[in-house]
Amino acid sequence: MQATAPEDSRLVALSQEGDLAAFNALVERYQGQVYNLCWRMLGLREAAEDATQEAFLAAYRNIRRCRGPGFRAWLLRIAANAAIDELRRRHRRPQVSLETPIADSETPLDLPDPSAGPEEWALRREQTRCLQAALLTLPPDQRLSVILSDVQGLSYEEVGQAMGSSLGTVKSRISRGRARLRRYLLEKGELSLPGQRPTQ
Amino acid sequence: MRNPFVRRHPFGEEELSSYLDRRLSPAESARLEEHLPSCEPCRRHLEELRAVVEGLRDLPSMPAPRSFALRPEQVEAARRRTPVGPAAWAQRASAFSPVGVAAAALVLFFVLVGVDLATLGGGGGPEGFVPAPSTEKAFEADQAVGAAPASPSANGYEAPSLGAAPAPTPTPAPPAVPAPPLAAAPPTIAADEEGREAGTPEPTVGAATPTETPLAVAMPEAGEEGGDAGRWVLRGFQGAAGAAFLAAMAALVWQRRRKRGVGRT
Repeated sequence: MQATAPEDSRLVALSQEGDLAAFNALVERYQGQVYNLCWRMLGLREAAEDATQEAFLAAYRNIRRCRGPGFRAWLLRIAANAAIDELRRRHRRPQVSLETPIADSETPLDLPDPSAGPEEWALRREQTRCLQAALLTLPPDQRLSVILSDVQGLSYEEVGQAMGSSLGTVKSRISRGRARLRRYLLEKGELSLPGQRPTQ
Repeated sequence: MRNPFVRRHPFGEEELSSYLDRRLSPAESARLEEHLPSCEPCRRHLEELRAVVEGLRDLPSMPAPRSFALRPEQVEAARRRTPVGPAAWAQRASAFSPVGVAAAALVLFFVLVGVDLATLGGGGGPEGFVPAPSTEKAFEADQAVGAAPASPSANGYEAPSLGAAPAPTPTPAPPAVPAPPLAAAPPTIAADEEGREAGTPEPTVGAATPTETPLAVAMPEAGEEGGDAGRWVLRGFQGAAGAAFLAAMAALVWQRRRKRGVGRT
């Protein structure tokens, strides 16, 4: 992702001059990541789509405030805010509870690789469903930290940039989020240990 | 109480989590690695956390269901939606919490009331604060004392009451006669009894009062006007702070009701 930073800077500079095509090139580049963040935060496809679209609109409106090399972290911060706003909106008007496990119809694409055997595939599908349900039980700040760090693979520093938080706060939120997920999965009997491996 | 593991083991969840991310210092990592072989609960805890993290990393990536590229009409609609001018100001103002505004207004109100009480002597009642006369008026007062306006006592007149504030009689009295004390017996008696001291120039403490009091009451214009103006300004601010408090409380109640109403739908 670092290799794309110079290209990001160029596209950001063009976007700041009002070039919508340049901005849309950035949209194409990051929409998967933004949509995934929103989807994991919200657990509903429709809500994730709304939040993703809102995030890109907000990013375009505020593009003058962005510095090119930090575009990704800046965009993820906007996406995180859009997801949290959408979460609040839906909590105020709870058509579907965000705490309930996601119905199959809501997750047509959230499937593990079907090239594994049918049993393994079914097992992983169940684990995926349970883990997503567990994520939705976390408080928003912990959920966001865990998603950015463990699902999206950002470093602590990048998570801090995206959330506007200090390293200590990030570290604490990630550890508390993981601890809650562990307890939830243990209670549900869904935590399978990957065999005895060396610790590090 | 919530986490007995942390109490019983030297490494808490944060250390174990940081260890998985290689974020512990070398010294702490070495200490943990030394501890793990002899502590089965810590080992199991670490493995469970590792399983959680690996499960999260293995979550399938979701492809975007459609393109989110912006169309010019979307951008234009969003621009129109962005408030400008008074609407933007109202939006920014709405970011203030009514609780904070109410608390600030209440504190301001009490501070203003405190200032009012401390400086204006409880609102300037008839026996309250009497503004000090200016130097010029003080001089006039001295002259008046010299002129002994209380001379009626010597002539058998009634002592002037505080509220009446009569103008000094035009007839000059003998200058050496001190003014009778206000709180003392009737002036005629005082004059009779202290007639032998008529020549002494120093009046008693009580004797100064009747001369000062009518003066203070008789010439309040400059001092009281300034005091009144200040008092009314202060009370205006008190009213404004009180109104702000009430408005903030009303906003809070309205906000709560609205939230509850929305939650029910």
